[in-house]
Amino acid sequence: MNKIVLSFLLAALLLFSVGCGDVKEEIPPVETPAASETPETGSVEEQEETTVELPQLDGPVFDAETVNLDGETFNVLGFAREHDLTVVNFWATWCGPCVSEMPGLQSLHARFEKGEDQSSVAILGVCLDAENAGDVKAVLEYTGAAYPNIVFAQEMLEYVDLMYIPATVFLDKDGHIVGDPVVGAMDESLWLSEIEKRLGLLGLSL
Amino acid sequence: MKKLSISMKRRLVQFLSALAINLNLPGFINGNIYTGQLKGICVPVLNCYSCPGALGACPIGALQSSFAARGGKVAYYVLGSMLLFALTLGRFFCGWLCPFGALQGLLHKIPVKKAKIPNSVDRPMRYLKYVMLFVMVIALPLLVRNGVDMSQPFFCKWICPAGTLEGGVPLAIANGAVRSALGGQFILKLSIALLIVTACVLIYRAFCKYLCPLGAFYALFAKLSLYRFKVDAHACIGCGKCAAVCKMGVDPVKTPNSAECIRCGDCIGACPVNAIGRETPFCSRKNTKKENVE
Repeated sequence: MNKIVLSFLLAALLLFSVGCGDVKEEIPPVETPAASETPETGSVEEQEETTVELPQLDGPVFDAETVNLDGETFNVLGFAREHDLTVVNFWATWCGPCVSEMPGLQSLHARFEKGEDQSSVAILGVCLDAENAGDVKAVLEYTGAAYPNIVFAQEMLEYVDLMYIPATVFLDKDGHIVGDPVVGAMDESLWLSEIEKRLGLLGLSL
Repeated sequence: MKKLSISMKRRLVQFLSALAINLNLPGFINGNIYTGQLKGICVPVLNCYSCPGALGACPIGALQSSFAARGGKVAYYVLGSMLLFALTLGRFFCGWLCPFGALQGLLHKIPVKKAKIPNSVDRPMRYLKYVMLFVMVIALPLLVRNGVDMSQPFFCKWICPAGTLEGGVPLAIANGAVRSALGGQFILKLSIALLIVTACVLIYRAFCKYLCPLGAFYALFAKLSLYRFKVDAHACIGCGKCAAVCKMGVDPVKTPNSAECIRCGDCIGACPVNAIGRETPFCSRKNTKKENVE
């Protein structure tokens, strides 16, 4: 009997020490029912008040320099200037809900690319774990996501709280954040209504 | 200091444990969870990673997360921790340290007429927790994969009432962004949690008895755990008070190390002749005779 206990105990210790090397990797955030979150709501509410009337936004300008997934320099502000509204979607390969909403974002991208809408809207993905190149490739292939995707940069945390992902912010032509961020995964029709809401805040429509 | 009764002691330990495990108190106000280094450590109890106060990780959640990740990794560190917990104090963690167990104990204090579950229903239902462990925690996250070889933490996502009450609800109250993300899934999980809460008012520790996968894991090792109860067969007068007082439905004389025993110690307090003792390989209390009835 005691030998059995001892051997199990040894097994436990062995497993424990085997695993100890990469604790960080092993424990990604556990999904809660409310699997997502983002910025301090205070500043967001202020913005909402100022946007009741007109497109005058005086929040911070989302100005971040990074590279795209192919390693080419990418300026977020420069990209935003080319569109009326830029949907900036933060995701990671280990985040199930993030991956699940990417096909929906791709089909929106395909629609916006045609340029048949009144306003020009762009989807921009920001990958939080681009270092896992193999995983990124597999996710992009699986979801068919062909919209621009860039590598996360620390400075972006000035504009968005990424305690929970997926998290999405919307930028106007000047790089100002428009309305509340969206937290959690959504499907295509929900995305459309969120986009229309943000365009409405800017006095535009789809 | 005046001598505290064992149930008073237990209540005190439960309170201190709940506090120590969830010491990130500002999180409850700010609606944020703690993300420091300690979060890499598994706690020995079912305490949600996403509780705003939580300093550590729930082993059941961590295990599922590793299974559900791309490639279906096995977190040896988590499994090792669980095995270590199981083999040392085992379900003592359930009875004395688990905050969700403590909550269930409090719920049962609500003075309403308690349900009497007939043995023919109670006994089979006890196996449900093993189904939770082997199906919801292990099999589904390992086997139900999507096109990028990812899965979901099925138990956390679809059942765990501790997650709903410790993580979902406090975050939703304190954090507007979380609130905005709530939908049908939350309603479903809240309904499950309320159902279980109701059951716990009527049945002592209904979740522990019938559903908890971590309790089930510890229960598998109950016979091997270093911390054990022992009944002195010579001292025992067969009065049956221990079995009568046990709220988990165990008869300590027959099975002092039953898988269902959460080591609360009520039986020790109830024994008129001090025949029930606690022992580890290093020391044994109260009981001097070697005879072990098992």
